[in-house]
Amino acid sequence: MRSLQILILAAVVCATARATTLQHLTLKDMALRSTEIVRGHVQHSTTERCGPMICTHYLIQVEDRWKGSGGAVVDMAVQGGVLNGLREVWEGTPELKEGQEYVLFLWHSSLGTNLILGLSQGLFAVDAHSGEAMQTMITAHLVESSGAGPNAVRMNLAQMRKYVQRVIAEGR
Amino acid sequence: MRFARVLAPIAAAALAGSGWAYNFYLTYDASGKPLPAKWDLTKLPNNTVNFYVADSALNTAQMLPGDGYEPVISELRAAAAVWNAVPGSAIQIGYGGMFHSDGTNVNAADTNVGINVDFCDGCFDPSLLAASAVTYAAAPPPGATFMPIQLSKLLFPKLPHGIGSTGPLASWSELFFATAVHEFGHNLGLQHSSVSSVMSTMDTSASSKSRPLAQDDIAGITSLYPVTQPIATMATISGKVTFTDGTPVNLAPVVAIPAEGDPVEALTRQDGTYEIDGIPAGLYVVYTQSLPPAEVGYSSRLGMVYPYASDGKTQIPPNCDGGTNCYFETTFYPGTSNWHLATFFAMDAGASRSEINFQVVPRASMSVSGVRSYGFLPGSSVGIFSPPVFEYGAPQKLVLYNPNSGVLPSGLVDANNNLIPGVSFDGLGSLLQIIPDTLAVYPNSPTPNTAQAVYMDVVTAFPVPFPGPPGARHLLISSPDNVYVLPSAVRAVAAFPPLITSVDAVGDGTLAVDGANLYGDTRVMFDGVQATVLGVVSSQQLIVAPPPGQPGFVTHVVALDPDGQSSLFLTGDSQAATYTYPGSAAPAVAVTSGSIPAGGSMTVDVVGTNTSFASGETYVGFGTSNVVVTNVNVMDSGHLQATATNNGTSAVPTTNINVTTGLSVIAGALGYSVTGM
Repeated sequence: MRSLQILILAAVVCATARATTLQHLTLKDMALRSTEIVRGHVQHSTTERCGPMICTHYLIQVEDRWKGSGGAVVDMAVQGGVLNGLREVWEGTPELKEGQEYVLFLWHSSLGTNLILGLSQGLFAVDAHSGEAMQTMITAHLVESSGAGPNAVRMNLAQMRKYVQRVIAEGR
Repeated sequence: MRFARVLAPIAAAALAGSGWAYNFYLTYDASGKPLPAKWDLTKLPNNTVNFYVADSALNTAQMLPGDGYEPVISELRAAAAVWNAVPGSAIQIGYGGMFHSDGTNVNAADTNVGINVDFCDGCFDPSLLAASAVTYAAAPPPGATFMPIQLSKLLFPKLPHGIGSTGPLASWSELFFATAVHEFGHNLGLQHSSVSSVMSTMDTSASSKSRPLAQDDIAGITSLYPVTQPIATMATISGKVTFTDGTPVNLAPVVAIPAEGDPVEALTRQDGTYEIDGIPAGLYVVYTQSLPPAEVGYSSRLGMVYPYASDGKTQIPPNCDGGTNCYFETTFYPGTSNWHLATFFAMDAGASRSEINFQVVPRASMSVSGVRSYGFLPGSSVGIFSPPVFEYGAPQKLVLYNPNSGVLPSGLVDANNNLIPGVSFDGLGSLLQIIPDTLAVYPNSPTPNTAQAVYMDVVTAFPVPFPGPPGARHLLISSPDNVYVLPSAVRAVAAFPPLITSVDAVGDGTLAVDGANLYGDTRVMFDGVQATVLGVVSSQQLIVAPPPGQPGFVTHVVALDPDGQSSLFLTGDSQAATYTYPGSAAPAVAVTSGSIPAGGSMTVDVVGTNTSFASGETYVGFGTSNVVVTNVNVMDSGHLQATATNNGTSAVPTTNINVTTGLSVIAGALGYSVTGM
């Protein structure tokens, strides 16, 4: 058996550790990093090429715009979809439902498409009955960072809007 | 404690090639048979799917000193070699050269039937480190037994970066390498796993550069691409998972796990049945645990693409009855949540055991999931995930946190940062011991994360004098309403990781690698290419022959031990040892002038200047899957002949050639002189 040599390193440097291939974003992160934030309904979807990928494009009828200066309809895309009989799958990308209302934190890519920030982190389904927005993959840390408490799983839409706009106004 | 040891029947187990040991991209046919997406080996020359690298989009100007195309390609080749080395797997990944792309070209990456590696800033936002895709028919053709993958992509940002950072990520890092191996796994047809393998999401992955694949990864790839002859050295366990009312559970992970060593997982089919193939001989307990909730950013549980029905449109997700009964209580066979009461199966080589059935109690939620472990080597503040813990050693600190949320699951900790009464931690088997009075909850843990964490001291060898073999040890987290199994929470080792302090020329073309804990079985990597160890002077010095590299090229040197440890554990990425290749004359090649005709073959004569061509080590490609290089004949270090066949519809210029030897990548796209003669 090899001896256990104690190595004393004077200059230990940064961690080699891994966490995830995906950075976890808080609501504040997303408010600041997004190029456009809208609330609206999904009208319909099509599948097209976007750069080297197949993307499913969704047209969003905008009811409320929290950030950005686009028109009444936003074209946004999700990686993957079916085109010409071929399915291209990207793990973790969401599928939006036509007619469903969402709050979307979008990122305008250099390919000219609007993508959801953080894979699906920037996608919130709106519950029409309760007036709440729920992240499609809600997490405690996100709502905690926004002051809603660690156990909350939903966020009131008005509070969310107010919080996001305050963050944007403060710019940090 | 009751160890109900059951001898597996010697039922003979001819392992069929249609095994089911993993999580594939599935489409059900009309008869209800699941069809995995996979490459059609009958259409791949030498069972080899090539990867092709975009030639111009990598942002080399902002990469770290010494980083760039050559190291990146070498690491990708090394990542491919990891999958190629799996015994029992028929598929190989080759390197086919560079194709032209600027990262935005719609069709560039689709011209190659293979894995197209591109660098694209607009394809996903900066929160992603890498992403990959496979493309196959949306609906199953009549009579299909699998869904042939048409092409695949692996995308990195133009400047590969770390997590939460826009700074450059070293291509020689643990993170880049594990990511490349993981993404290649997707490119071959593997989805995520929940048992801490390389195909797990990085939230729970326990793989390392030294030991990237776990047994679960090996089981997955060998089940998808079995060699013609069945491997009689592996065992099989099968059965069914139902809820207590008899409803079949879809996509339930069922895991065969030894007390020491790697687990192997299978997911249940739509009818609740499962089959775990690829189990090495040994003693196992079997449990089933719910698919965890979706991790941050993923829209599905385990970030997976749920199977498609035969219509090619409808997905078949895990059971989730009206928002309730979406999860179930972790259950060990034969129907207990207490692993001490679980049956241990002695699985012999080639054995199979069936009817290992589970009835599980549904739950509306999963109180504990996504827990991650890390720790520190004694005297070091470098955090290492699935940390090495020494056999016979003093207790070491183990840190648990939840990367998914930054706060520990509410089933573990109350609002005052106290463990909830009834929460306990235990090793699965007696080889991992938790020191009870060392348990503590910290609101903010130290580097590498600052999330809320549980600390505890653990030892891996108990009771002495018979510790288990080095390898994975597993943790059980018991909360009042469930048990959570974290496979490979720590890794038992017998020695400290290797360390490299310097690499110097000896004078005869060989190099002295100085450091500590260097042995004959230590692999010394120059970026992604392994050097030949010529001699072991002592545990402080190895003599190696470096792989060929361009004059003036600065390579990063990393030592890897077979127990999963790396010299990067001690130095980090930025302080990795380096070596600069001597000389200043750039290599160049001159090739037979002309083009490889469409539908024809050609022998291309290649004369190199300042090159190091070597038989078996020099690879030739033309950056397109249309051209297949069938033979490379190396005459000497400056002369070779490559025979190439063009299956495409247009001629391919011979000057598109890429010649790769060790770390030396000669391609016109990289600015090297490639001329006709």
